[in-house]
Amino acid sequence: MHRTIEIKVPASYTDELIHELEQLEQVISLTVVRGGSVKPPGDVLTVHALNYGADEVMRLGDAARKHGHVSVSTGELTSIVDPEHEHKVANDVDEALWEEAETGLCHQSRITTNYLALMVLGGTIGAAGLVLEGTSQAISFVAASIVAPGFEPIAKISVGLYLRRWDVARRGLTSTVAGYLALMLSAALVFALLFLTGVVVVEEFADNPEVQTLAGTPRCARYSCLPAGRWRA
Amino acid sequence: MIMILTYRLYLVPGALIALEIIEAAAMIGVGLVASEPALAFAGAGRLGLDILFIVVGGVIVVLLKQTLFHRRASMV
Repeated sequence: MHRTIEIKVPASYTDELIHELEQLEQVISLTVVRGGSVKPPGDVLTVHALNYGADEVMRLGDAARKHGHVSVSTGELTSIVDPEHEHKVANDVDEALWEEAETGLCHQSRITTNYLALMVLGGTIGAAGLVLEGTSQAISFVAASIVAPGFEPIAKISVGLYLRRWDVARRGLTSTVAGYLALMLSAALVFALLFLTGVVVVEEFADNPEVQTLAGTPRCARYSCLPAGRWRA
Repeated sequence: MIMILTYRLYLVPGALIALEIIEAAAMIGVGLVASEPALAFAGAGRLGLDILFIVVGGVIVVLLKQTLFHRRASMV
C-alpha cells in the first residue's frame, strides 16, 4: 500500500516545506489547506507518496519541528491512480514506517484488560492442550496461539532495543512479563480445576509426548519404544 | 518480524510464533500445580530460549531494515 501523510505545520514554514516536498519524485500528489488546522494552529499538507519515499517525507516533517509545533499522521492508500506516474506506482515497495510498526505493536501489546484477558484465555486453552494428544492437542495449541497476543510485546522489545527507544523496549518487556504471568497463572488454575474435578490425572500431563518433547526428555526414558515408531507406556 | 515491518497481517506472524512459546509458558504453570517442578523448569528454560531467539532475530531484522531501507530514527 502507498502512504497518505498529513502534516500540520506552522504557517511560517509551509512554503519552504512545500518546496522541499515538491522536489521528491516519490511524492505523487501534494495538497495544502492554508489555515486549515486549528490544533495545532497552522496549515495542513496532505502528501500522497510512494512507500519508498515515505521515510523522506517523514524526515522533512521531522525537520519542520524546529519551526514550531508539527503534527504528523499517516495512513494507507488503497490505490493511487495516476497515469503519468504509473510505472513508479507499480514498482512501489512494501515497507512500513517505524512509527506505524511501533503503533501497531503498541496497540497489540499494551497492558490493558483486553490484552490480559486474551493471554488468560490463551493459557486456559493451552493448558487443556497439554493433557490432550494428536489432532485435539494441535488444535488447542493453534487456538491458544491465535487468541493470545504473545508475540507482539516481544517484537516490541526488539524494535526498542535496536532503535534505542528504551521506553519502547521497557514497555515491551513489561507487557511480556505481565502477559505471560497471566497466561501461566490461568494455565495453572485450569489444570488445578481439571485435576480437582477428576477430569485429568497428573500422568496425563507429565507423560504427554508433547510435554516430554518440550522438556527435552528422550521418550525412551519414560516409554518403551516399538519398532514401528509407536510408543507404549 | 519481517512480516510486521512489511504490512503483512499481524495475526499471522504473531500466532505462528506464539504457537511455539505459549505451550512452554503454559507448561510452567501446569508443571508447578502438578508438582512436577522439573517439567516447570524445562518449560521456563524453553520459554526463555524462545524469547531470546525472537528478540535477537527481531533485532537483526530491524538492523537490516534500518541499514538498507529506512536510515532514519523514529520521529518521537
